[in-house]
Amino acid sequence: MNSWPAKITIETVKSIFFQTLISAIFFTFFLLLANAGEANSQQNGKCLRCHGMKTLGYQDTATGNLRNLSIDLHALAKSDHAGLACLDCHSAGFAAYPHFSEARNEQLECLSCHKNSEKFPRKMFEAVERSFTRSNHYQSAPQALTCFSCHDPHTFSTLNGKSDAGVKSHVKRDNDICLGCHEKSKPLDNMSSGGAGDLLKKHVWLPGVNRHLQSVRCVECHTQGDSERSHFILGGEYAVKECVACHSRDSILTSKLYRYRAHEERNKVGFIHSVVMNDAYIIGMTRNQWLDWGGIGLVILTLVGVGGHGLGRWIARRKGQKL
Amino acid sequence: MKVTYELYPLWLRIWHWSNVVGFLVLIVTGVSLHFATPDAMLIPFNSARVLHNIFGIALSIGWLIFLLGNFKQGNIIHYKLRLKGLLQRLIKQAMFYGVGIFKGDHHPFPSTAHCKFNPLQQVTYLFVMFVAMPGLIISGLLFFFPQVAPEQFLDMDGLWIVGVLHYVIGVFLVAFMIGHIYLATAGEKVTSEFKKMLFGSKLTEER
Repeated sequence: MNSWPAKITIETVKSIFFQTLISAIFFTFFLLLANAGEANSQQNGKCLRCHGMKTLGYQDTATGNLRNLSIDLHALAKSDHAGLACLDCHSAGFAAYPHFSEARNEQLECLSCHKNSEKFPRKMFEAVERSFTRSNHYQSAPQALTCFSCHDPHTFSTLNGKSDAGVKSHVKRDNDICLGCHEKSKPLDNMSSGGAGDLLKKHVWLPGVNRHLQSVRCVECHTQGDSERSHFILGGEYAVKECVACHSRDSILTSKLYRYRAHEERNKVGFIHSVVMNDAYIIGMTRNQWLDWGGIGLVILTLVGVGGHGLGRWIARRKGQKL
Repeated sequence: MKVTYELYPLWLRIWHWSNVVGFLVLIVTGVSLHFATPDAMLIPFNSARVLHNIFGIALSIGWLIFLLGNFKQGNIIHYKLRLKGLLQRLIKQAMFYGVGIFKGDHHPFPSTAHCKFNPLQQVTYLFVMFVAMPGLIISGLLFFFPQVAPEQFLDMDGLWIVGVLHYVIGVFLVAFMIGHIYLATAGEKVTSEFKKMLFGSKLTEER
């Protein structure tokens, strides 16, 4: 059976033309939409084809050191920067391969995006910058450390709203940043301790030092205040060195840690289990010498009272009086 | 017409003795938690923590059962306080415990079908069961739901106030328990009151 019209008229040609045109417009439109959505991942795919290899590195001709150029794809996918294209941060010189040699000298700065941005309320990163420039890290060697010294932009992920890990893993993650330099066997020029052994020695005053280091972030004692001010790292001599700073009613951990822990545990292990296994208890948080002595005193007084009363009844009974 | 009443019905006795077990565990674990040190603890910290949580929840459920039972079974009648002449009755009962008991006087307010407690017992139990226990339970539950606790209270951390309240009520109830056990020996015989709470006590009254 022939599907062509028996007679091709001008109207038929017009109709086919317009149908084709409209289809083409829609097709192009959808293609553009799809491309826009995948542009970042396609672009990144080109970069990560090489940089996703675990062994990618090169020898820096200036220093002779091997430089790791590999990116952890899993960590990148979970990081806060996962939605960005590589070239959003890296210069156009990296778009071509081999990369332009000038591209190697690019100066990346977190604050070029993070500063004066409506995305970050309360001028968060301005506060971070102020804290950092006042910190021991910056004051000791202004040019030595940058954001990237501690934060890897390819893996960095904030804790806010994420509950896929417990307190201890968050503590470890943050402490690993500090230990990355401070636990090295070779001390940093004039800033670091003398290695892991020395680090433990300096914290020996802490009872159960290892348990403390697993449960509390370094910045809780080595900074003052909230997350923005957590970049205001103090010198070791100014760090909190009092048990009661945490183990007291005014604990620097009480409100934040306890409430955070309860919330995290509930998300992690379920309601009933989290309530029964609730481990958000800071030893000594409710300790107060007056209350302690008051409590012990009340119990002793009661015991003495009933003991004396009982003795009196026993003596009265021995005297032959009816009880 | 003579009517026989059970002063200590079975449900009340079961609640009472389960409460005893719960309280003993909570006291031991509570002391272990509050006075925790690395080397001198009654119970290891982690075990005490879990036990305290479990028995705290059990005690709270028990208190709800007590409340329900009291209103459903009519036991609440013994908690109805007659304010008229209360002070005189309290003094009379205190005088008995302070003086009369050594002279072998009779109990000034023996149990009746309408009130099995003497005035001092009635006031104390009212306070313990309807003020202290809810306070203890609420402050304990707030530690399970710290996000509900006030951030600040009287310029102090809200959770600290909750913790102190829990501790203070706990200590008060320990003192109460000691007094309660001791005064249970002040019945007709030393063991009479214990037997009543174990096996019940029937009271026959003319109606």
